[in-house]
Amino acid sequence: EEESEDEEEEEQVKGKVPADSGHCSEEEDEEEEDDDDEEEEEGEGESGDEEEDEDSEMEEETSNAEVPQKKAKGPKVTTQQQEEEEEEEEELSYDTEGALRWKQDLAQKAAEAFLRRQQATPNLRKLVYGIVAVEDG
Amino acid sequence: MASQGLTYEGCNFFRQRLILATLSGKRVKIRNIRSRDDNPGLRDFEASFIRLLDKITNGSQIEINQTGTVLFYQPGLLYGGSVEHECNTQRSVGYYLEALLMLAPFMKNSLKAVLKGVTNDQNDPSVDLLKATAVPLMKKFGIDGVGVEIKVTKRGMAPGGGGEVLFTCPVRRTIRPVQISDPGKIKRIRGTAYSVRVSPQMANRIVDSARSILNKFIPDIYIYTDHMKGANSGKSPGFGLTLIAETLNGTFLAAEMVSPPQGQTPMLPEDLGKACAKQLLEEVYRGGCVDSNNQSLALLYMMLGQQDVSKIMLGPLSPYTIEFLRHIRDFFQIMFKIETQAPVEDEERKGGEKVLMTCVGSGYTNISKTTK
Repeated sequence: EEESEDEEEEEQVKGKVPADSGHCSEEEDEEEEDDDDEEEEEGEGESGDEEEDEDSEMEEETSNAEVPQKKAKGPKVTTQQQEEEEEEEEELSYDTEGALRWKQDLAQKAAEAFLRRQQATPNLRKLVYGIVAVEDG
Repeated sequence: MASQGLTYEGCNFFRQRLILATLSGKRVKIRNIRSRDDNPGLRDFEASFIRLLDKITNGSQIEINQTGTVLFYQPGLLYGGSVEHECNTQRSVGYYLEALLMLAPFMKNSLKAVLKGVTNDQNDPSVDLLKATAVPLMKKFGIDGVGVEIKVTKRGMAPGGGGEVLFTCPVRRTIRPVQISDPGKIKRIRGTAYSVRVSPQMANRIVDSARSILNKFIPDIYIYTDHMKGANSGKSPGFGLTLIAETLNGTFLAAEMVSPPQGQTPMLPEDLGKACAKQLLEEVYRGGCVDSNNQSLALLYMMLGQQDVSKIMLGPLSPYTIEFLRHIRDFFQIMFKIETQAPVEDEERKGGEKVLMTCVGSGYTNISKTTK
């Protein structure tokens, strides 16, 4: 990941975009994209994602405020913002879907819960005799 | 040669180690006994315990270094016979009697021991408690008959002592395996309130306060009062209470309280009676087929039984019992199967978690017993 970031920084330097603001917004883009992927896979932690989104929006505003001061509003940045907005809309749809997704993999969840419970009950034999007892059965 | 024996460190579980060494015939070396203490080495009560072991065995070899921080013990044959022992007053007679209970059935001659010292103190199970719980337990393992007796001839309270206890036990060639898994419901509560060198009214006050709590649960309660005077009352004043709950299946659960020794903050007999009654309720909650004081005794007999499966239901294991299990593994290479049993919620029978202990006896036979 670091390498890719470095490359992007280089691109920004070539496009005469100030390193600070451009880098900042780009990093968040990446994070958001990662979050989206995770959501698609797991379908959990919607509330957390929402919070992150809010944070990123706040930071975008600050970055936007900074940009005109430095007089370097490259075309790349605007396209990115548009992309972000589109992504946010998509995210909302993911959120509503995720709320209904608790029914997925119920059997697997039950199996995991069972294993977790079994591990939580103390194995007295193991407590008394130590590891040796486990090998003996 | 030392490699054949077992080596331990520290002063903890001193009795367990010596008892199991004696039964298994393995030599044992204990190092670093209070080596960092201001007063290093064995205490007087431990030395007294070693002397008692020496009296009941034949050919034991005991070596203690100059400071008493290292002990080497090579056990001899358990001989038994008539023994008289002046127990150190730092610990009560129960400390010594517990060991004798474990060893007595495996001796050459039936044991008749007279132990003198403190019969009741706040640390160790008192003679009354062992009399009420250990003797019925031994009967289940086939150690019964008229020969088993614990009798308090003189009562001596801490710190002065001056009590006397008679303990007799027959010898057995083998121990019967047991399967006890249902303790049953509480049938009756018995108890002894004793007082020495104080007003005899103290015992009555204890009885009244203990009854005030227990009467709510069961009507069949009888608490004896035992006031000893004159030569039988020992050297120090004090009073106490032992309560025993008997179940339908013949399990005895006991609790006890003793007044603080003279010089410490005194305790009202009413408070003592109530506290003891609550302790008994706690013991009943813990439940199991063996009183928590006698868990290790029961496990020892199970382990030394014939080569057959023994099962016993216990309440939560006491720390002493847990360490005892580890020592059994060290000395006899026997491991118990330990299963937790969730408390049965139906038919109002609730209580603490129970543990089902299962083992196959080692087939230990008492080869020193003479066949007649």
